Amino acid sequence: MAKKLVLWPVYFDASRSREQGRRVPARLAVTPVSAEDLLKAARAAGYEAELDSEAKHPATWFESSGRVFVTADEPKTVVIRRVAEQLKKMKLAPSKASRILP
Amino acid sequence: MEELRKGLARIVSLIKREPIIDRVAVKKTLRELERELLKADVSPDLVLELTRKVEERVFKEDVPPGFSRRELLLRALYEELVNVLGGENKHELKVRKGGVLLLVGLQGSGKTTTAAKLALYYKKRGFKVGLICADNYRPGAYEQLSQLANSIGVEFYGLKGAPSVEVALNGVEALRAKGVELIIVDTAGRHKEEKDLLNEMKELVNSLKPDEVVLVLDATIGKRAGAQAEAFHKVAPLGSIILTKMDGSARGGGALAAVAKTGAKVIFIGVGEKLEELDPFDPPSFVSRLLGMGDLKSLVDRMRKAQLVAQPDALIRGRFTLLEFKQQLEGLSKMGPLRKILELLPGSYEITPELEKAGSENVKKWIAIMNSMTREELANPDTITRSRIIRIAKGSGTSTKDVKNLLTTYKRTQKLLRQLSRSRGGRLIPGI
Repeated sequence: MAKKLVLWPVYFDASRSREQGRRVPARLAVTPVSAEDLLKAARAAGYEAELDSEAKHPATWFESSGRVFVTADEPKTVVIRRVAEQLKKMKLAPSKASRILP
Repeated sequence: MEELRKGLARIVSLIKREPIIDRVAVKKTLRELERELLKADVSPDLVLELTRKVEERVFKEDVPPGFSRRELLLRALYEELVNVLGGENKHELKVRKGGVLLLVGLQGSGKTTTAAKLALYYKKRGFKVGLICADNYRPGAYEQLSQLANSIGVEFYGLKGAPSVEVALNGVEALRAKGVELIIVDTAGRHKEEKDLLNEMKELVNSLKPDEVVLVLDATIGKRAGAQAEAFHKVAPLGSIILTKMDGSARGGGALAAVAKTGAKVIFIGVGEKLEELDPFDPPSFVSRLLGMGDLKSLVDRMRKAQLVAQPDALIRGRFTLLEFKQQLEGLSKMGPLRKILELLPGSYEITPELEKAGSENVKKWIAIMNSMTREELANPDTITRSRIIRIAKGSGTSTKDVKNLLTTYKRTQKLLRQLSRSRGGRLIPGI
């Protein structure tokens, strides 16, 4: 039974404390994380994902970071792990600019 | 009050006719004013304070551009009178469905009539009103209130021979059972001195727990009303006052001034024997009527607007920090649409869509945001970093997006003003 899960950028943000909403161990976390990054990562990890760009997470009610809806069968914790790993890969990969300059 | 009104209107026309408004003329006018106020039994120290303030304002304040000292005098007169009579705020009774109002007052103050007047007032505003006669001391009190209730068509409850607290409590139950939404309780005015009245009032308030306690005060006693109001205000700081018989005597003005001075809230004034003759008290409109000026009110409004525009001293000199922006906005939310203000600025002042968005909703938010900034941040907005933005957003209950919006709008406004000032050779408003 596919379910719709919500992922917040805060879950993956290394610069935040757990109290501020991080769900993932610091070594697997990345910074900065935008909702758009999340969207890409979720899709890259093989999930169907949609973006809601004006949503605010209660722990950071003063910033509207946006959130991503993901459809998946697995438990949320598993999904979070997968996406986190994907995010980490994406963020650490050399960016396009570095191809121009040696 | 009629006397006072005539006298004040005379003074206003004096001011308008005087050829030059110099020290001599102002002093002359103020002497006349003092005379009229003293006739109305306003306490001498209040009178002196008033005329002193007016005199100071006329000669010390800067006349807003486009206005004369004469008009400044009129404005000062109006505003200081409003101050003496209680300030700009209009006070209202907290009336809700199921509410109870308790009326107290010395004998002869006009409680019973006022009770009926209040009943009619709220009935007209859609409440189902009920009157309770808790006065078992004065002969005929029951009959009188019952008849009045009948004539205006509201429910009535009374019980002869029982103690007033019991009558009141039973009455509230009985009337509520009949579906009455607002209950007004008339008590016995059997005291000559405030002390006894206040003691009995405390008892009643404790058992009845009314939503509002209202002191009905006779304006014909003039400035002595101040002492009563003061005593009442001490015992019941949240209580309100109704001044009755304002039509009857020359001393109404003095009574009003004395009561207002105690800080008590005057909610209505009684201006006649008929039940409709109860006016909600609002110092600005009251003073307007006293001075006979529909035109003075609009004059004052225009002057305030012009003052706002004249404020840009800093603007002219090229200094426009968040502080100045904030001041402009604060003036605005008291004033109304930004467009009208911009209209007043001479020259072609383009209304950018951002500035227009600075319409009512945003203004309040932006003022809140700037209230969460430190003086430093207001004076040097460039020092505002991301972490400060977060703090400001938290402090004002807004989002970081909102704070950033404010900052960009501010920067745009600043740029605009800089361009304008440059195009006009360093001066924003010609002739300054």
